[in-house]
Amino acid sequence: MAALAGIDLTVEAGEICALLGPNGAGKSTLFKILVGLTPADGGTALLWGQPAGSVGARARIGYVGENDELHLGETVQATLSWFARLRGWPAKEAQFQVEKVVFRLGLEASLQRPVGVCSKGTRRRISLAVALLAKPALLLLDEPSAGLDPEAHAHLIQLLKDLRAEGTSILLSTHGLAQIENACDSAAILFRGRIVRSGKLSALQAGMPFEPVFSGQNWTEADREALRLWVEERRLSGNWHRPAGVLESIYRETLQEAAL
Amino acid sequence: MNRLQPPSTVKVLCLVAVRTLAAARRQPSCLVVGILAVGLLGGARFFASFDFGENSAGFLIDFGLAVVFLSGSLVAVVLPAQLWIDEMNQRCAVPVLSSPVRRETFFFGVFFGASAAVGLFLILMFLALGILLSAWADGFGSAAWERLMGACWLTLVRGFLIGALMALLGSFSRSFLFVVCVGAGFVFAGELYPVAWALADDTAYGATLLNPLLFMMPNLGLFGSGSGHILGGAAPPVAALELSLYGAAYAALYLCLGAWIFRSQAW
Repeated sequence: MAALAGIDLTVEAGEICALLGPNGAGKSTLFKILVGLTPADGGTALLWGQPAGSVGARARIGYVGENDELHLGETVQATLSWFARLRGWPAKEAQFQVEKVVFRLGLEASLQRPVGVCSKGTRRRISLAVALLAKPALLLLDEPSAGLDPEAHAHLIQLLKDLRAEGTSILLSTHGLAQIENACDSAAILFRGRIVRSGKLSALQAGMPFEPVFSGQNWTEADREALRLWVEERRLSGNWHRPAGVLESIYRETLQEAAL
Repeated sequence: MNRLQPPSTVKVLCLVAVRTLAAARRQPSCLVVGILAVGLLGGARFFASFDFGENSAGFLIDFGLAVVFLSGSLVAVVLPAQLWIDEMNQRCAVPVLSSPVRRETFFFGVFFGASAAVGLFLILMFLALGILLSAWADGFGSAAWERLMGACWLTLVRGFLIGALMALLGSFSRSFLFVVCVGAGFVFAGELYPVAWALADDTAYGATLLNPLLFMMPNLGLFGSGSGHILGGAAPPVAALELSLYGAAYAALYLCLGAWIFRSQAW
């Protein structure tokens, strides 16, 4: 039985895509194949037309695995400086880049501490800092919020939004659907090694029995579209919110359909 | 968006080797064995009172070489095993291997870093031994110093060879105990190489079973030195250059095999 088959996933520049699926669906395997940690038994995996896992493809990827696999005895500063050099930054520039990610991830207080004595949340941020040092075009995050407290989680979401605004594509796997749904633009649902549903959240939501959060009335799709156009035409400020729990409902319904 | 060029292979090799060397510095085993060995070397004069009739200089040299041999063997097995297990079992290699780094480069980088750590340990031990012998052993002049440095070189080649075997074991095993036990067994068998050959010839199926295994194993006993050689009374059985090439050939075999296995590892 193939762990993964026929995966065709597009994450556009400056887009956050959530890769969803139950445990064992193949999310981590997909990430590992994309970064070349696990060779595919058969078939081909391509990123930007290059074989996934090739040096050229890996140069454009930042990867954070589900566990923080770092040298525990090394200080945070030494770890980040080393990875900056490994990613190809010249010595002086490497220092500047380290300072940048340290500031961005709020790691100033931990710089001189060994990684091993840092909290789980801090280690998660260090792993993310290592990935960001690559200036990645695509950021692969396997369960990035695991072990984070609510404050750190909110900080992570804001960081992902900032990275999206800078044009970084982000593919992340998570089980915390409610926490991530306001940040992501699209989703792909993986079940038994296959993508059973994928697309923009708005498209996935179409046909689902949900009401817009601002209505409280029985809005049809045409009503929603009319309202959206009305808001756009008048250039009114405001955001179009999805009702909370939509992603989870889409996910549950899709899995039920796929299991049948 | 991405304007970074992956660094050259040589640069990556150096970065990984230096980081491994730094990781070796943090391992307590090296320090503990080093302190014990220096303590034993310092106590050599006390042990010389049990020389059983051998001359004092000869005893001090043999005792010192034995201490360096044992401590060096211990460090050459345990230290690389710890470093490889950190990379494999603690999976510290994952963020590196998901960067634009070739697996073979990483493998050789860790090997060179671990070998450099073992080499530094051996050089320091030989220096300590030389200084003590200069102070205590009669007839230990500049010629004996040179021969001691020759013995140091062969011990370094031996350490490099053991390091290559540990890299081979580390390339696939995720168990510290397995790597240490097999590595120590290899060193032990390598030291008893002639005995193993005799055993293979004497056993009914020995030639069939043991001979292929023995061809994969170098005779580590050749790399040892004694007081006779250091004091100039006896010539070494094999020339240093020949022995270095012999060790390098086996190390190359282990490293190629290790790199090939490491390349296909799934993480």
